[in-house]
Amino acid sequence: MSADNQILLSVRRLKKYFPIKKGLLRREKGQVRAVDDVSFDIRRGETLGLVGESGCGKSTVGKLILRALKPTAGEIIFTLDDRQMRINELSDTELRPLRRHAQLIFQDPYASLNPRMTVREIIGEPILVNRETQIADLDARVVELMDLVGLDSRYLRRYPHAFSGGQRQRIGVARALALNPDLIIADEPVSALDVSIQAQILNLLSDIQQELELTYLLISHDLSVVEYVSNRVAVMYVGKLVELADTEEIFRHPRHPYTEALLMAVPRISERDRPETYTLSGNVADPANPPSGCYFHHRCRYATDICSTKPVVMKQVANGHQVACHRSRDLSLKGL
Amino acid sequence: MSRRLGISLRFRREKSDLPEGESYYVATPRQLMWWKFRKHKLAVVALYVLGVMYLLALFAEFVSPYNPNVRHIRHLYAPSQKIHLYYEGRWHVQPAVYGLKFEIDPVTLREKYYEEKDKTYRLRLFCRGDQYRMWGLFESDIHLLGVEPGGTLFLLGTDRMGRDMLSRIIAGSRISLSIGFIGIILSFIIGLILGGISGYFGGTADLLIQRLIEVMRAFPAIPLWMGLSAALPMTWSPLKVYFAITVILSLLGWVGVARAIRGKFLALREEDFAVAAYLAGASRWRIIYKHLLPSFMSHIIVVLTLRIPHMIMGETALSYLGLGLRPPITSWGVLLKECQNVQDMAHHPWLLLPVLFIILVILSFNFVGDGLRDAADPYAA
Repeated sequence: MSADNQILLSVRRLKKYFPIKKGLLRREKGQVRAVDDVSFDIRRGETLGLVGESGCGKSTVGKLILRALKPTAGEIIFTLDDRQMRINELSDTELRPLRRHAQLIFQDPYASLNPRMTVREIIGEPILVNRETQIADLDARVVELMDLVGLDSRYLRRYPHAFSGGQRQRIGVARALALNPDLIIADEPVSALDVSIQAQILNLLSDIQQELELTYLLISHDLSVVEYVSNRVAVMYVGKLVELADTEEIFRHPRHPYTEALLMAVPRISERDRPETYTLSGNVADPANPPSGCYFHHRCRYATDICSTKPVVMKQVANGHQVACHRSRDLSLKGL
Repeated sequence: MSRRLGISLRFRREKSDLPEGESYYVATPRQLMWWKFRKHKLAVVALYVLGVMYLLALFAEFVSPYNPNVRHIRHLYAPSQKIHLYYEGRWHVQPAVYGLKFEIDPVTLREKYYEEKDKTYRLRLFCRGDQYRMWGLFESDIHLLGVEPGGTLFLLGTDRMGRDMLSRIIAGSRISLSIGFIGIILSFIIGLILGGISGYFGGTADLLIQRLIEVMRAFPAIPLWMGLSAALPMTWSPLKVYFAITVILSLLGWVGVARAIRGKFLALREEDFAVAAYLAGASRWRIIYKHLLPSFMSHIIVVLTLRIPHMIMGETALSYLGLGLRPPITSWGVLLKECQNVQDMAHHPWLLLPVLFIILVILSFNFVGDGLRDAADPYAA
């Protein structure tokens, strides 16, 4: 099992601040702390779920790892065999090798496929621009990928407008797989799809994970999706991680009040399954002007004086369970 | 009853927009656009109208009955001649015109023209007439339409110097229609460069270009054109003046184009499919020409099409005011300069006919632009 515990990606104190520019001269008037001091590891072969509300910075984390954005500070270390790539330091040209190892699956299967390209061109583009295969073999490789994701290879010359949302997402998955990556970042891969299609795509993702020994970072706001496919779950709130644990552990025994509130909000079919309802009040803290102490204190029903004054850091509370809460030891929170 | 139903069903079927099945699934963007454009009936008609107008302009010397600069001194201010199929007491297949007789009205002292019913001249296709040099390549004297020797064929009348209006309008279309195109191409080049820099690189360059555009937009167009064209040396050759006027028109025309291009660049740069290409390792150049340009070209064509009328109007206005093109160059604006007073309009209304052509062309461009706008994004629901 040693191979399973090998760390593929290591994120250390990652920060991304977006400047707020105002006025005719566009002077910098402040910063949005989209990602603020985030650290976690992803082990080879696992699926790490990253959950949080809209705007909490979870997609930004994904983009930083792929260097679609340049981090303000922090380290992103990618471990391949014995080689380590410090992604945060690489220049644009040095990033090219990274593209073969980490790819992204997009949220919106409509916006992410160029409507003016055929399926063959879309799936083949990564192969073509990285000169992975001879042009003559391109078709064969694309057909192979289409088979892998369950698309009829007769559709090779069709344009995206011929496909449904679920099929389009399969095309997106095939494109992400084209370079045989180690890590796939799936940014809300099913949230734009019908519920009936969501399961199909999630099953597809699990199947190809087994087959190709992939590692996933699954970004989602939907806890049921995360529960279904993740080995471990990280919860984000206003640019910071607040809790990180095994899926089973975090769903049964959450240690952070925010995680508890998220779990309460998961829709259940029967009211009997939900002993107590509790909805968060107030708004998400403004990442441009975060509150003092714990960012969550003004919405937290367990908050005490210390929560509004003293900043909080991630601490190990049990084996593999990290949480950022002053009261994590004396609260007993409800899971599912 | 069933007949009626059948008709209505067929009508429905025609209106249903797209072909079914595989041909739709593998349809290229251009095909999709054409299918969508085709639904816009008015735009299709307008496209044909423009096609005919540009063909006329292209073959101006051949299709016009006379040399536009030849003066028929016996027929000054002649009204338009009617074409008859009934003459010499019976119906004919070959149309003909009557001779024109000129008289001075003894009371008003105005010139008057009468049809001489006893003199008929038949029309002929591919008839020999005035000499011309086609595109500067070869000499010819064959005209599409002419009349038997001795007769005259002034379908739209003649002007102050007895020049055939129809021939002059066709000759003028060559300048008026091409100035729109050349002007828009110049605007496009300036707009693409400045708008592209502005949208793709952003930052200070964007800031400066945007402020420049705002100043340009706030500038009243006609006074600026007037000032610039008044500054052109009188000694310049007509060809030089023509190009100078085109440049002047596009100096203001690029503004809207640059804005459109910048907006598209900004929007598309952040599109998921452009990000996907970047993450796949595609070079910046490949992203621009393979992903961004094809996506916004159709929109830019719409913007350009809708701006051509402004160019044509600009040229017409300048020439009408005597600041643009000057004789011997013939453009629609130059022709309209002939009727700047009420007397001309009252006594020789046919001198205003170029206006009809201007309206026709500008409406057509607008209809085509509308149709293209609907078709520009064939992927919208």
